[in-house]
Order: sequence, then structure tokens, then C-alpha cells
Amino acid sequence: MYEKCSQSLLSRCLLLTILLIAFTIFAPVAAQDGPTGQLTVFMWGGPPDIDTYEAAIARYMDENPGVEIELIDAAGCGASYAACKTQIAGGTMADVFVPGSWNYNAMANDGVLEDLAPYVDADSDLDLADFHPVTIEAVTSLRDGTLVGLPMGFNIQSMWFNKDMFDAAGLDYPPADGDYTWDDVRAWAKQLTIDENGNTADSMDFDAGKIVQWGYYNHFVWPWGNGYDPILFAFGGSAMTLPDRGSCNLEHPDSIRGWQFIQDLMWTDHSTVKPDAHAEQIGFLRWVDGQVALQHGSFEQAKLVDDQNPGLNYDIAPLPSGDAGNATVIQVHMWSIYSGSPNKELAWHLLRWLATDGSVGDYGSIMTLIPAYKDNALGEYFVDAPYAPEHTKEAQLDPLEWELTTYPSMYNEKTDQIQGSDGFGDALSEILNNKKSAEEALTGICAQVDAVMQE
Amino acid sequence: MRLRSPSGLGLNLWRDASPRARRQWLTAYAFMSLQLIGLFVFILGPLLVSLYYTFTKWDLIAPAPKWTGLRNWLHFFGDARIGQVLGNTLWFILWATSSFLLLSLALAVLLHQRRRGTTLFRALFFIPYITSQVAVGLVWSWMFNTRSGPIPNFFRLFGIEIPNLLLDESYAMIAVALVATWQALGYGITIYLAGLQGIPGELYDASSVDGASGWQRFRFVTLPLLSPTVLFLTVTSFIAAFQLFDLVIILTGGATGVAPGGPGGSTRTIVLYLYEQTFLFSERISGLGYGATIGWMLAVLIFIVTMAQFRFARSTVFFLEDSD
Repeated sequence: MYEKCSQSLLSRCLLLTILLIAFTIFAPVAAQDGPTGQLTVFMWGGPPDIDTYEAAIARYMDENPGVEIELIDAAGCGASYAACKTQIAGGTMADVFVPGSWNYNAMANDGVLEDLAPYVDADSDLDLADFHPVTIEAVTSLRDGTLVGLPMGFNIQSMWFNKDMFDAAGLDYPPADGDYTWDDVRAWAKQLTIDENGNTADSMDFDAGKIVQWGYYNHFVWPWGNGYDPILFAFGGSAMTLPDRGSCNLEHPDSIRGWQFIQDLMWTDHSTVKPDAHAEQIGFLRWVDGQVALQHGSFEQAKLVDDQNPGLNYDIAPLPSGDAGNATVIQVHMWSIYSGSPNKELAWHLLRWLATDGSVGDYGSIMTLIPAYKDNALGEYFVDAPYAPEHTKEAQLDPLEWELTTYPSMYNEKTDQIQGSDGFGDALSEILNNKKSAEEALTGICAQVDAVMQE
Repeated sequence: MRLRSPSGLGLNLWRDASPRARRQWLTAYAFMSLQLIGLFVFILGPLLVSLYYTFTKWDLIAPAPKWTGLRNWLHFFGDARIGQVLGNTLWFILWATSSFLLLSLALAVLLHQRRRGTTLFRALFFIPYITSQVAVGLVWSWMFNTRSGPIPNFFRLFGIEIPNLLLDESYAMIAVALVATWQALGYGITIYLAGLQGIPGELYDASSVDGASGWQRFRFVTLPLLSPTVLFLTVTSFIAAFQLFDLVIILTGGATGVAPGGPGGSTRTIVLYLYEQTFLFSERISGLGYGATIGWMLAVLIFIVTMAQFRFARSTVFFLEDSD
């Protein structure tokens, strides 16, 4: 009897112990809301960019304690497609990463990027209309129209000007409504370019070999599409046909006219930073230092001035118009999911957060990108940021409504190649270094570029 | 240990060997095993795998390479750009190796003399060799700068305006060769100095007694006895020159309005083209397979050139025989 009773008690104790252990193990999981799992994220950029990525991911993990994220600076994978290829071939590619706006079409063409449209369709709380249409256009594959990323933020080219230099030359500032022309810029640039004897570029005594202040700087000197495309667009041309970006458009008379305008600024007027001066010190840093009056650039300049030359007296205006109207280019930074990721649902959860709720806050203001989601750009994270110049909204947001605003025309699946010796790289080099006129350099170039596109 | 075998086959060697000799063999191979494993895993294995890739198409994205047979090899011989990039590479080799071999020899002969300061100069010449190519490229791209670069400003002293050599199709590769030579001089000088120190002094004494002039001593004593060193430097500098890549990227891909390999494709070398086809381009043929094919053809070319150099060396290189 005693034995039987003792056995029964033992069984109950054992059962109770098992239940207690099971509760201890499973209770926290059952009580935890939200996603669980592990992800890897690749990032690239300078130390401030890395800091902001780390802050954003830390915030996401605070809000989603069941998700563990490894953030890796993976030798530039994203900025460099070659670096991503080695990661993919080695089986170490991240779940989420940041493709460059210059190479995402190549990645999309190779099937590296997950199509996000089904995820968006299945998400009743996410409306792509909450992003500006131009930013969604810029994350859409040219090949098949699939959505290959969500915008992290974007930048846009505006005219940055040194108010003291304009005052000293007795010139009115570029108007904040964009009601001025590239011919105005050319005339101003000549009056604002000064040699070491104080002669301006429109003076007979001007010495182009001894310039101490340049009237204008543009990224076209690299040569970079963010610099030359707004001019070509405003003149009615482009490097590649729009919107498909599938064929060369450099032999179009308006494209040639645009490039001749650029060459004349450099070599006829001597009013803009030429390649050799740019090689000495990058042109936009010359503007930050106070050596250049007008600069065609993005909002990164505001942060640079804030860090390096806070006393600079400057403002910004939208880019001017040409025969075809006002034009500028945007560059969208995006989050994408690797198509081979085994954690796509979780990756989507992270990516969606980063592009929406997480798009401002810790990193929206530091990255100096314009938040692309809803009206976030109008608030403290951009327009009202402490170092934002007076006409930030007019120069950086209003141009989004221009018909000619888009992303650079040479950003397609063969950007690397068409910018090199096989494409139009050498022809542009001849123009920029004054070896040939724009017409001489560009005549016949399209057969070469189109052959690359078709190969 | 002396081993004998009637047939010369390893099996017979092993069978005929004494137990002690066998133990010694096993011990020797045990010591060598790590090296042999490394050789197979890290050198022969990848070599064979890369040879396999030459018969495939792989963009590094697909899960596995796709067999394409001889397509990469046939494309190589029909690729119009190969002629240009090989021509550019040979043009570089001509300038870089000749200037390297001659200048480093001349400087080594000068620095071989026992005078004050030679040790300092040897160290100074060696510094560029241990400097990163990126740093060298950045410094030299400024040296050629027509606004503030020392080279154009030197010519300006004499009223001569020279273009930025890196922006001129005719001179860009020569400028790259000049930079490569400047960087490698210290290495060449060091090797030549080692060779010069190995020449017995009594030969110079004997030639002086015979009335030889300084030039005759150099021509008939130094140069012949230095010929093995010249051969070594010739072979290694040719191999290195065939692989030119970093300097071109830095010198021509900077902020000078020129695409890497420019201007006009004049500095596009075969290794730069290999990189472009492997990682950057998306032509039908592009990918690791075609890149490996270019790499193998380059290796074959280097092998042929090296063999030709050794063949030429048979009649021109003199080895000092050991009197023992």
C-alpha cells in the first residue's frame, strides 16, 4: 500500500517537473510577439554612414528582440557589384544589402535582387504612393519593371552658391524658384572667376593659368552623369535614351549642344574647374573651402560645410532651365533583398521597417539623404535640419515635380561598360580635356555604345 | 644517400631500398607532407579548377558553372580587343623592363663603390619598392599635373609647356612605365648589388694588370659575370610587367576625366581587361570562364616568353664555375 502510494506521488512529481521545465523553455517564445530569426545585412560607406546603419539596426533590434542581425561591412558589396559577386559565389551573401543606384540594374538583370512587388501587394499597410513616384521609378528594374528595392532616401542636384562672392561681384543670387537659365550661369561664372591679379574671366587681362577663384564647379569633370545629365536634359538631350536607357543618345543635336556648352565653360571661358584642377583638389571641396562661387551638387555639401567650414555664407537654388525646361537628377539609395536569401520573409520585415518607420530618426538626418517616405522630408530630418540652408525645400524638394527630373540616363544594366573605353568614356574624356570639339568627339560614338548594349 | 634502380622506377627504388633507407624516405616525406598538401590544395588544385572554368560560362551568380566546351578559347582568338590590350601590355613591357634593367644596373654600379653616403642612397632607392602602389599612383598623378605638378613646372622653367602625360594617348603608357620603373628601381639595385658583390676582386685586379680601362673592366668582367643576375631580373620583370593592373587603375582612373585604361584605351592592359570581363562586363561571353581563359592564355604567353629568354640565355649568360 505504502509502495503503491509512493509510486503515484513520484509519478505526479515527475509530471509536474516536466511541465515546469517545458513552461520555462517555451513560455518566453510563446509570450514574444513579432518576428524571430537571424539576418545578415551588408553595408558600405564612410564612418558616418556606418554609424547610422548601426544605429538604425540597433533600433530595429530593440523593437524586435526576437531578431538577431549581423551587420557587416563587406568590402564594398553594393557599391561594387564585383564585391557582391564574390560573396554570392562564396555562399556568404547577406539577406539584405544596399545596391548602388549605378549598378542595381545590372544586379536585377542577373536575377540577384528579389522582386518586392508580391510582398508589397500582400502588405495592406504599405502603399507605394507614400513614396515619391520618381524614387519608385528609380528602384524599378529597367528590364522587366520589377520592384527591386525600397528607397532608403535620395539626393538631388541643386545649385549651391557662395553669397559673399555674389555680393562682391554685384550679382543677384540665383532665384529660388528656378527662373533662370544656363546662359545666366555661364555669364555669372565668367564674372565670378578671378585670377591672382584680380581680373575676372571676362576681362582681356585674365590669366587662365593663375585662377584663384572659380565661377562654377560641376561633377561632369569626373565625368559623372549627376553632373552632365541635368545640363543635357535641360538642353533636350541625354547620354542614353529616356526612359528606357537602352540606346545611346549622345549624337542627338541637343546632347552635342549640351556637351559643347560644358566644354565652352571649361576651355573657352575657363570659368569652371578643369580636370587637372579637380585632380589637385576635388571641385566640390574647393566650393566648401570657399574657392568656387557656384556649385552643382547634392545635400552632402551642407553637412560638409557644417563640418569643415561652418562660416561659409551660402544658400541653394534649383538648377536652371535650358530650351527644354528645368531639369535635374536624383540618386536613390535603396534597400534590397538578395534573391537567394533563405530568410526572405524576415528580410522583408526588416527592409520594410528601414524604408518606412525606420527611415528617419537615427539615420535620416545623418546620412544627409532626403527621406523618401511620406512627408518626412518636410520636418526636422531634412528641411528643418539645423544645417539646412534657407531655400532647401525650393531647391531640393520642389524639383521633384519637374517633368525632366529623373535618375541619370546612363544608369542601366551596363553602366560600367558604357562609361569605359568600350562605351563613351574616351569620347567624353576628349571633350573634357579639350582634345576635340563635342561634335568631333561624339560623331559615330553611338554605334560603339549601342554595340555594347546589344552584346 | 645514393639510390640505385635498374629500371629507374620509383617502385623498384622502394623495393630495392634497405629498411633504413625506407625509414629515411618515410621520415622525409612526413616532413614534406605539409608542404605537399599546401602545394596541391592551394596551387595545383586552383590551377586545375581554373583550367576547368575555361570550358564553362559562370557569372558567379548562377549556382554552378555551365559547360560551354571550347567557346571561351575560340572567342579569345576572335576578340578584337585582345590585340589592343596585348599591344598595350607589350608597349609597357618594352619601356618598363628596358628602363628598369638599365637604370637599376647603372645605379647599382654607382652604389657599389665604397663612398660615403652609398648606404643612405641604397635605403632611399628601396623605399618606393615597399610603398603601396596606391600611394605611388596618387603621388605620381600629382607629379604629372599641369597646374602644380613638379614635372610640367620643371619644363615650364625653360619655357616648355608639356601636356599631362596621363591624359595623352601617345604618352600615357610611357608615363605609367616611368612610374613602375621608379618604384621597382630599389629592388633591381639590391639584386644587382648582390650580383656585383659575388664577382671575385682578383678578376678586376688581373684585368687592371692587363691594362684594361674602366669601361673594358665593366664590359669584359662585370657584365659577363653579372649576366645570371641580368637573366633573373629580366625574367622576373617581364613576368611582373605582364601583370600590370594596380598602377593603371590608380593613375588613369582618378579624377582626371578619364576612364580606367584610358585615354583612348591606351593603358588598358590584358590583366585590366581580364578583370573587366570577369567582374564588370555583362557581355554574352563575360564571366569567370572567359576571365580564366584570358588568364591561362596570359600564363602560356609568359611561359613562351620565359622559355625564349632562357634559350637566348644559353649563349649570352656566363656562370662562374667553382674551382673546387
